[in-house]
Amino acid sequence: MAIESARLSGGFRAGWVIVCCFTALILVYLVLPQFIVLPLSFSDKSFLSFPPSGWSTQWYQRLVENPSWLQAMVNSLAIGVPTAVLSMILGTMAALAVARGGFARTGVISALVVAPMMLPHVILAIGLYPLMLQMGLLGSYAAATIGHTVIGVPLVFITVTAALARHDFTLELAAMTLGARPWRTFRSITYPTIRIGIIIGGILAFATSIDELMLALFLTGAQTRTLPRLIWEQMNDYLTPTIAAVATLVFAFTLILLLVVALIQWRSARLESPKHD
Amino acid sequence: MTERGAELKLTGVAKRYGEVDALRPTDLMLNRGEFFSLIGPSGSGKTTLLGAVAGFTPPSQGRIELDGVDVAGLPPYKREIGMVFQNYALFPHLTVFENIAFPLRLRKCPDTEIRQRVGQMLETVRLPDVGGRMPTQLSGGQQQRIALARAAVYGPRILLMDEPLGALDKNLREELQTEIRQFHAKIGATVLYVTHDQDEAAAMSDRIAIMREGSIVQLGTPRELYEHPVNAFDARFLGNANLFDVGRETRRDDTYARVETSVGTLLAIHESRGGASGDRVICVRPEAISIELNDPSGAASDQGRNRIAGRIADATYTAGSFRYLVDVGSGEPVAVNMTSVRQSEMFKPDDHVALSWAADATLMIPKE
Repeated sequence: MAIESARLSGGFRAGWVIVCCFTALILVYLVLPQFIVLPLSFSDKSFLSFPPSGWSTQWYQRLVENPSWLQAMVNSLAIGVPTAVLSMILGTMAALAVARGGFARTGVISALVVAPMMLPHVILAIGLYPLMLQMGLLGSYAAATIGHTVIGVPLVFITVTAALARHDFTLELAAMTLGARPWRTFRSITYPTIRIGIIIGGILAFATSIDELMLALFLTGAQTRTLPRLIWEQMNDYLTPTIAAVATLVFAFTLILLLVVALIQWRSARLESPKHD
Repeated sequence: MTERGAELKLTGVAKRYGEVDALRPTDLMLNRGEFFSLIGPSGSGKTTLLGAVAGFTPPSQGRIELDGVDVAGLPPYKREIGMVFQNYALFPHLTVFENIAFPLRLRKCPDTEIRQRVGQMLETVRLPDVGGRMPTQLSGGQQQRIALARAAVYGPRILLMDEPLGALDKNLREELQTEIRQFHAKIGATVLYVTHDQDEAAAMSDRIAIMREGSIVQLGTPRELYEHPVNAFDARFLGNANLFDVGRETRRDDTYARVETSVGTLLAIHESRGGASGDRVICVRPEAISIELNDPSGAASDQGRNRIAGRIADATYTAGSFRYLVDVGSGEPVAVNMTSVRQSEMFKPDDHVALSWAADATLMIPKE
């Protein structure tokens, strides 16, 4: 009896080790490739090669010296920030409308709002291209902002919908009986409970815009090209480790955004757990 | 302070959802400072009626007057009503103090006045020290007391309460019934109270309206409703009732009718409003019945009392009274409640007993 249970727990331990190894392997597979750009960006060779043979920071220096990289960064921000703001406004409104009910088929509406995130961006790009051409917006900041907002809205919609799942709409009725008009009710009661969802959705929309290539290729011009588009163009023409340096910077930036998201979520979870004194 | 209560008058208020009448045209009048309850099973229209007064569900037709001003078309935030919800609906991101201060801040009260009035309300609900806490740090009963304070702090002339004790356990519920009564006495607002708990309504209210299928079916003081139900539904809904189907009516004078029932011939009061048509039942409250060991000599109804013989089917003791179920040969067993003060020994199952009650406590009412 004792021997058998010992063997059983031995088998269990072996299974545990296998699961841990497997998980580690998957994590390595998922995460490691992202880090390859790091050594590449510090290479002393003038072309992308792995593993690098020597060490230098010359590519970061070249990056700073080349004004087109700086322009691309400015462009990315000029498109990313309005995209985030627009996505936050539209996504929140959509989430509120669906959560409040009043629609017969909320499932269908939700699916339609989320669809642009699921569909290949190239479809959206091909669709928007002639439209923007006709409206004379092609190559403008507005064109890329509109395109990116289409894929940003679903992100905010999803995070705000999740926040609303825990929201009690009776609170709004209560506020109204106490004398709060609709806008005041939203500002004082609804907004504080979904604020975290809106901010996280906004950051995700911003990060998506900063990272997006397909729509940028179709919709931006020489003056408005974003960082990913410039990387792509340089890739075709030069293939120097400068690209790896840019990629490293974008990587670091995105990582910071994700850390901010994690921090916000951790903080709000801590605030929401009831305190006892 | 009763003059602070508003007079609420509903005239022909109705609500239709498509083909469904959630509320049939209803007239209702609440006096100043009155504690008025709406009771009824779910779907009877009581919540729809409350929602119409609150402004959540605008009525399809009718007038809702507060002190003579029609508010039927106004949104909730222009009605100056206070409302208490079943789930408390305290704002979770605000402290208790800020919750109560919320309606005052909307009305742009100066800070000193806000501090004073919130402090006063916290005293009134006997929770003077919790202002700095978050709502989730309070118990359910405390949260509901804070909700009361918040609903009343700006002096609304009418308070609506939607099953405010529904989420609390039994002991706490009874404690808060008293609390709410005292609160009502102090602030003097007119109260419209919705509940499905008839005992709660009876214990708290000046008057009660019983609702059923979108209409008010009976309205009166708790005692009137209990002692003079208009039909079998009402009799069952408010308290416990023994009902016997009426067969043939053999004789009738000014006050009493002699009728054949499943348990024998009984004397009953016939109230003219019952009407003569349709099926009728005899209704006897369990407290009205006396119970004693069977004396085989006189098991007939006479001298203004009804008597039937039976056998104890079940005997229980609860909080100061014996509760018996007595098998009387046909139909459901008869329920009898008797205070244990009046009887030293409790009957046991299978004891043969005689039941008797006054003809004046025997009502003949319509079945529907």
